[in-house]
Amino acid sequence: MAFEITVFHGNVLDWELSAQSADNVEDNFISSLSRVLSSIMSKGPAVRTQLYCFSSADISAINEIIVYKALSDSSQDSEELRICIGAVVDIPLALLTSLPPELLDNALYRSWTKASRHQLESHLSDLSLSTTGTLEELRDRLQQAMTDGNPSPRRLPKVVCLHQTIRELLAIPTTGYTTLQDCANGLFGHCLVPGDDEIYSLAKGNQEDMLKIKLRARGMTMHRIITGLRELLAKHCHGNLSRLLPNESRPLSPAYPQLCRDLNLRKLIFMHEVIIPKFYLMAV
Amino acid sequence: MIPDLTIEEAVFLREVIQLARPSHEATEIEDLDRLALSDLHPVDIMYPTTARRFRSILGMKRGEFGASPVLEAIKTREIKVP
Repeated sequence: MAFEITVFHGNVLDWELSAQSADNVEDNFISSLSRVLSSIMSKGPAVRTQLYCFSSADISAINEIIVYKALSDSSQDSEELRICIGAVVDIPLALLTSLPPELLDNALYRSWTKASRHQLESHLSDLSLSTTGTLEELRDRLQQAMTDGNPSPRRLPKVVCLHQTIRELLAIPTTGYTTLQDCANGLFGHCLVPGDDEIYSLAKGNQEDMLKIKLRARGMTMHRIITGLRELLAKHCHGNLSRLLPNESRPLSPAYPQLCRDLNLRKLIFMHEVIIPKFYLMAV
Repeated sequence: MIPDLTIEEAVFLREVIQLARPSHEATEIEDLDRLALSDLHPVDIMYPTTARRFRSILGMKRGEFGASPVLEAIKTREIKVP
C-alpha cells in the first residue's frame, strides 16, 4: 500500500506540506495527514479547505485506516488520531452534539408547529433553558438551542469523491471511466497518468524514487482535473459558478468525538456525553 | 454509448422506448433523442414516475423537453454540462 497527500494553496503546490510514503503506511499516513491538518488550522479561520479523493474506494480506505488505528491504538486519546477522525471521517450527528439523540431526528425537530407546549417545555427543561413565554417563543428558543454550536443535520461529506462528482456535473462522450487515467483521458484527451498496476509494481519492487514521482504525478493529475472541471463549468455558466457549484469550502474545524478510554469498549461504539433527562435518573 | 449506465437502467430505457412506439429504422440512441426532444409527452401523462426517471438518467431537468445533455455529448462527441 502507498499514499500521496498533495496540498495546494490556490493553484500552487505546497512542497513542504505534501507527503507520500510506501513504508509503514498506516502510521505514516495518520501522522502526515494530522501534520497537514494542524498546519492548515494554525493559519486561522480565514483559510478555507476542501479534501478530495478520486473514488469512493479511496475514501473508504482512508476511513478504514483511521478508524482501525483508533480502535487498535493502546495510547489514550492520541491527538493525531482525533484530528484525523474529526476532519476526515463523517461521524453520525448523534456523536457530535450534546443534544439528546431523541431531539435530532424526530417529529419535534422537523415539525415545529405540531409540538405541544408540554413537549417544548420538557425539552427546554432538559437543556436547562427557560420554559416561560408563548408557544412561539418556546419553539424559537428550542430551535436556536439546537442550531447554536451544533453541526447542521444537512451536512456535506467532508471528502469530495471526484469520480461521482464529475458524473453528476458533466456528460462525457465516452463509455464511462473507472480509473483516474480514463477520467483524465475523457476530460483532456490522451494523457499519461500512472495506473494502479504501475504504482503497485513499483511499490512491490521497492523502487522508492520512481514510486514517489508516479504518486506525485497522480496527485497533480487530480488537481488538473479539479481546475479543468471548474474552468469548464465557468465557461458554461458565463463565469457564474454559484449556479452549478452552490457550496463553498469552509474553514477546517474538525469536530472531535470522545474516544472511550477502555480499549475493548471503544471497539463497540464511539461514545459521546449526552444530557440524560431527569426521569431516567429517577428510574435508576 | 451512454456512460456509467447500469444494466437495470439500460433495460429501463429500452422499455421506455417500447412504451413510446419505437421507429423500426432508427437506432436506440436516435429513439431516445426523439423521446427527449418531443415524444415523451404521452409517457409524461400516463407514467409520470417513469418519465421523471427517464429525464434523470439522461441529465434533463424535471418537466423539461428538449435536448438531453447526455445524448448531445454522444452525438457531438463533446463534453456537455447537464
